[in-house]
Amino acid sequence: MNMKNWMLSLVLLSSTFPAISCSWWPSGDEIRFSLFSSSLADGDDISPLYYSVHFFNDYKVDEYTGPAENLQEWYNYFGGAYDIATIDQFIYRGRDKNQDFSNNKLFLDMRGGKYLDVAKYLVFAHTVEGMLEVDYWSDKEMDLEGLRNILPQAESEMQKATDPYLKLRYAYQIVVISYYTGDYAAVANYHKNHVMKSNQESVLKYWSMLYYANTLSDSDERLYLLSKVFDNSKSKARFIYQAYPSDPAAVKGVLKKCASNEEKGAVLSIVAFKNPGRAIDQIKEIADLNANSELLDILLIREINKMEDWYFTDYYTGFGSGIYSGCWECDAFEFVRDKNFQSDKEYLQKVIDVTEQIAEKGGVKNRGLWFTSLAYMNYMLNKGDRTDLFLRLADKHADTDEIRGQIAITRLLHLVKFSDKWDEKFQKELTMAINKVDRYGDHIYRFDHLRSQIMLAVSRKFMYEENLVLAALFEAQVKGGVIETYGWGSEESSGYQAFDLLNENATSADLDKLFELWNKKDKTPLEEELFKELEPYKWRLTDLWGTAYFREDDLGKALKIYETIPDSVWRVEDWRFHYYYAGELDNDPFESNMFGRSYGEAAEETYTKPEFIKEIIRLKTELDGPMVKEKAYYALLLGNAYYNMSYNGNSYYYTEYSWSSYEGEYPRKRDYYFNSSRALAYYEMAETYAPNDAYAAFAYRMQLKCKRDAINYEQEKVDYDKRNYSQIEKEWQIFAEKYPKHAGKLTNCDHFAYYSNAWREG
Amino acid sequence: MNRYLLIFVLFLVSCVEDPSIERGFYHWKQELDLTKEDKAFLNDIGAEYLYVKYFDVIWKDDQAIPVSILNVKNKPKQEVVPVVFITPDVFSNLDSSGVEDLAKKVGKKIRDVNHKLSNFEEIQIDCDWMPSIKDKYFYFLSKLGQEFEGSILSATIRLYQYKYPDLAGVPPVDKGLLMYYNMGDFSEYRERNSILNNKTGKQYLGSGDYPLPMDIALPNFRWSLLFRQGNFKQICPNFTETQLNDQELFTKMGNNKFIFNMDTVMYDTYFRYGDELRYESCSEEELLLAVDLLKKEIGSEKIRVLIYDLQNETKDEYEKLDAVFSAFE
Repeated sequence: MNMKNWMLSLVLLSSTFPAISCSWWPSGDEIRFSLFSSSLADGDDISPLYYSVHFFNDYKVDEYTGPAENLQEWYNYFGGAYDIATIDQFIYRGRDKNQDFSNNKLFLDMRGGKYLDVAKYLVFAHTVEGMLEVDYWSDKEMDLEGLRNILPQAESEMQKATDPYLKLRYAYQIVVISYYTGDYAAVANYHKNHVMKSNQESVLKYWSMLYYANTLSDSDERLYLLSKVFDNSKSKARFIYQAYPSDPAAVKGVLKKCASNEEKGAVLSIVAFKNPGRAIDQIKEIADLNANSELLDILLIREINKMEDWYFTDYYTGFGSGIYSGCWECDAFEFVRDKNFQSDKEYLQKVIDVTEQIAEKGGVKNRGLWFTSLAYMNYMLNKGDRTDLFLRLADKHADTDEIRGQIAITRLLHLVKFSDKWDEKFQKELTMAINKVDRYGDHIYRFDHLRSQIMLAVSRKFMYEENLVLAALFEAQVKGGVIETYGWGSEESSGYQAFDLLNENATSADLDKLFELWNKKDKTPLEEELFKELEPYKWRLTDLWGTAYFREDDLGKALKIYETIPDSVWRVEDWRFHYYYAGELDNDPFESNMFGRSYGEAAEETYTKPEFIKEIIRLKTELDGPMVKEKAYYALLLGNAYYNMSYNGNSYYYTEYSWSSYEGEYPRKRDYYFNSSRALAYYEMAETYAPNDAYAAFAYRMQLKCKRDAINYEQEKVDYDKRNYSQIEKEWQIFAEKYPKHAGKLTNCDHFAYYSNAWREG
Repeated sequence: MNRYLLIFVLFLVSCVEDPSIERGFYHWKQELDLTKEDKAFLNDIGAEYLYVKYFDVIWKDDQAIPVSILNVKNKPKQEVVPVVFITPDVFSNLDSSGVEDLAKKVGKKIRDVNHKLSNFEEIQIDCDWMPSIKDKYFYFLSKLGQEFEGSILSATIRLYQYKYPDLAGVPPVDKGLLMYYNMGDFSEYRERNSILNNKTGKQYLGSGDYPLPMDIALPNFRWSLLFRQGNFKQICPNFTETQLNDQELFTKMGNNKFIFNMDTVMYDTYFRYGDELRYESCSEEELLLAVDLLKKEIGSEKIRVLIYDLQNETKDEYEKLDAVFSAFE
C-alpha cells in the first residue's frame, strides 16, 4: 500500500465507528481543508462569495444583523459615540419586540431628546420595512396601499431635511417604495436626481442603483449598473452574483458600455467569481485592466482556497475535495487521483507565476496580501526558500492584523514543514509561532476552525515522518470547529482523537516512546502543554499500551502494564471517556463456540483484561506441565481464548475497541485478528493431545472455523468478481473424510455437550 | 359532491371490468406555461389530467414554509389536480400541535395558487413518509381532507410503503398513487438505473391488495448522476445525449457511463478528469415491461395512469408514451 493509500485508510478509520459508515458522514465545507484565511481582503459583507464547495459560503463571522458597510456609515455619522453593536441592535433589530433596549445607549439618548430627526427617520424606515414584509403563507401580503400612502410623507421629509445624510436616506426610501409600488419612473427620477446627486458619499447610492437597474429592460445596461453596485457594495454581491451570467461571452455587450478599465474589471470580476474551476486566466485579464481592484484581491484568495481544496483536502483528510468519501473503490481511482494531483500541482505553479507577474508589475493595492499569498502558495508546493523570501516581503508590506495573522500562520507551517528536529530550540520557536498565531485569532476568519486545521497539518507532518507520538500530541489539539470531522463528540474528546490515531497505527514500541515522554520529569513547557489534552485519557491510553503488547502476544509485558491501572477502571461504563469495558466484556472468552459470534448468552461473570491474561498464562503453564488428559482441554480453552478475542469471537474487546461488519485496513498489522491463526495453533494442539477420536474431531471442528476465517480474509483481498470460497467446502470434505463418525454430528449443536466434554473420557 | 359519495363512485368505478385508463401527466416545473406544442401533444395523446405541483413545503428556520410556488402563465385544457410536495423533515420537526395549523395553511395556499385556474376535484399530497412520522403526517392528511370537504384527497405511495402497509401505515385518503419509479439508490456507485429497474420494482409488487384504490405513475425523465472517485457528488439534470456522446469530452463505458476526459466547467460545476456521469433514462422497452408487471398487479380496474413528468422534450416522445398508455388498455 503506498503512502497515500495508507494515509487515506488511516484517516478513514480514525474513529471508533466503522470506516465506511452507512449513516452520517461529514461532507462539503465540513471537511474542506484550508489554512489560508478567506477574509484577508475585506470585511464580512462579501463572505457568501468566499470559496465554498456549496453554492454559497454560509458561514458569517460577525454577530451583526445589518451589513457592515451601512453600520460603518452610521458609526461615522454619530462620530464614533456608539459602538457598532449598539447601532446594529437599534437599527436592524429595532422592530423586534423581544429585544431589550434598556441598555442601548443610542436608544436612551434618543429617548432623552438627542438625534430626534434621526429617530424620526428610523421610525419611518422601520414602518416601510414592516410594510414590505411578506409572510411565507400569504397571511400577510406586502402592504402596497400603505406604501403608497406613506410616500408623500417621505417626499415631504426629504424636502424638509436639512441634514444631507438624512435627506439622502429619505430619497433612498422613496426609491424603494416606488420600486415596490411599480412606479419605475419615480424610481428613475429619485435615483438620478436626488440619490445620485447627493453630495454624500454613501453605499446607499449603490443600493438605490440596484433598484433602478432592476427596472431596466435593457439587459446590458442593467448588468452594467449591477457591476457598479457589485464593485461598491459588498452586501449586495450575493444578489448580483445570482443575476449575472457565468459565460464570459454573455457580457460582451456589458463591456462595451464600460467607460474605463476599472469598470471592465468589475464586470469581469463577477464572471470570474462564478467560475468554480480554474480562474487564473480571468484573474490575469482583470489585473491587466485594474490591478488596484479590491475584487481582484478577493478573487486571488478565492483561487488559493480552491487550490487548497483540490490539493490539500484529500491529502490531509482522506476525503476527496468537496465531497464525502466512503472510498469503496479507492484502488481503482488511484490513477485518477494521482493524475489530478499532478495537474493541480502544475496549476498551482502557474498561479504562482501569474501572481508574481502581477505583483511585480506593480499596481496591486494590497501588496502585503499578494506577497503573503505567494509565500503561502510556495509553502503549498514545498518550496521553503521561496516561502521564506515572500514572507519577508510580506512582513514589509503587511498593513492589517488580518495579513499579519496569515503571515504568522504561514511562518508556523513553514517552520514545522522544514524542520526535522524536536529539540528545545525548535520547541521554543514553535511555541512562539503558535502564540503569535493565537494573538491574531480575532482577525482570522473562522479562527477556531482554521487553528484546528493547522494542528491537523502539524500532526500529519509528524505522521508522514512516522513519529506517532508527536502526531498524536498534535492530533489532540484538533478541536473546536472541525471536531465533527476528525473526532466524534464534544470538544473535550479531542484527546480521544490521539487515542484513535495511536490505536490504529501504533505498535508497542511507539507506545513505549509515548509513555517515556509522558513520564519524563523534565518535560519542556510545550511538551507539558501538549500532554494536558491527554491527561483525561491516561488510563485509556495506558490500557492501549498494554493492549499493544497483548496484540503482539507479549502477555508478560501486557499484564505488567495492565496492573498499573486501578481495578475500578475495568468496571466503569463511562461514555464520556469511551470506557465500555463492563458493557462489552460480558461473554465468557473461554467458551467453545461453534457458530456465530453472537451465539450463546452473556456470562454472569467474566474477566477484566488483566484477569484474562492471568488465566491465559495459567493455562499455558498448565499446558506445559505433565498431565495427559487435560492437555487437550487446556489447549482447546486457549484456542477458544484466542478465537474469542478475534474478529469472529465473542470478546473482540480484549484487543480492539470497535467492531464493524465492514472493517477496512489499519496501518498496523491485524492479520492474526481476522485469520484466527493464533487460535488455530492451539486447536491443532488440542487435536494432537486429544485422548479420543471424539475430542480430536471436536478440536478439528473448531479448526474449521479458523480455516474459514482465513479463507474469507484472504478472499477479501481479491477483486470482488474473482473471489473464490470453494476451499471452505473442501475443508469440510477433508473433515468428513478424517472423522467420518463425527463430522455429521458436529454440523449442529445437538451433540455439543457430549463433544465438548469428551476430553474427560480416556 | 359529497366526499363519501365520491368514494362510493370511486368504488363503483373500481368494480367495472372495462380496462380502459385515464391518461395524465405530472407537471413539476415552477412555471405553468405550456407551449402550443405542449398543448397539442397533450390533446393528441389524450391526456385528461395534469397533476401540477403548486409548491413544496420545507423545514427552514425552525418552521414549515412553502417554496417554489407555482407561477401560472396559462391555463391548460386538461383538468388540473394540485399537488403539494412536503419534505419528511417537516413532520420530523413539526410539533404535533402544529399539524392542524399546517393543514390550514397548506389549504389556504393551494386556494391562493389556484385562483387563476378552474376549480379542482382532487388534490394530491406527495410526501415520502416513514413510520416515525406517519402519525403526524396522517393527522395532517385527515385535517387537510376536512379543509377540502367534497374533493378527493389522494397521496403518493412509494414502493416500499405499498409493499409494507403494516409497517408504513395506510394514509387516510380517498385514493393512492403508486409511484413506480425511483426504485434504486441513485447515490450508489454500482447501481445501473435508479429511476426504473423492473428487477427491483418486481420485488415490491405481488401483494395486489393495498387497501386503497390506486392510480399509477410511471417515469419518463432522465438525469445524469455525477460520481467522483466512486462517490456520488450531485445530480446533473441538464446533460443531453448529444453532449454525452462528444468523444473529445467523454469516454463512454458500458451502456450509460460517461467519463470526463478533461477538467472542465459546465452548468456552473467544475468537473474533473476521471469524473463519471451515469446517464439514467427510461426506455420504451423497460416502460412496457413495467406496464406488464403493473397490469398483473392491478387486474382489470379502471385506473388513472400518469407520466412523471411533462418536460420540454416530452412532446417529441409521442409514440413511445402512447405505446405505454395503450399497453394498459
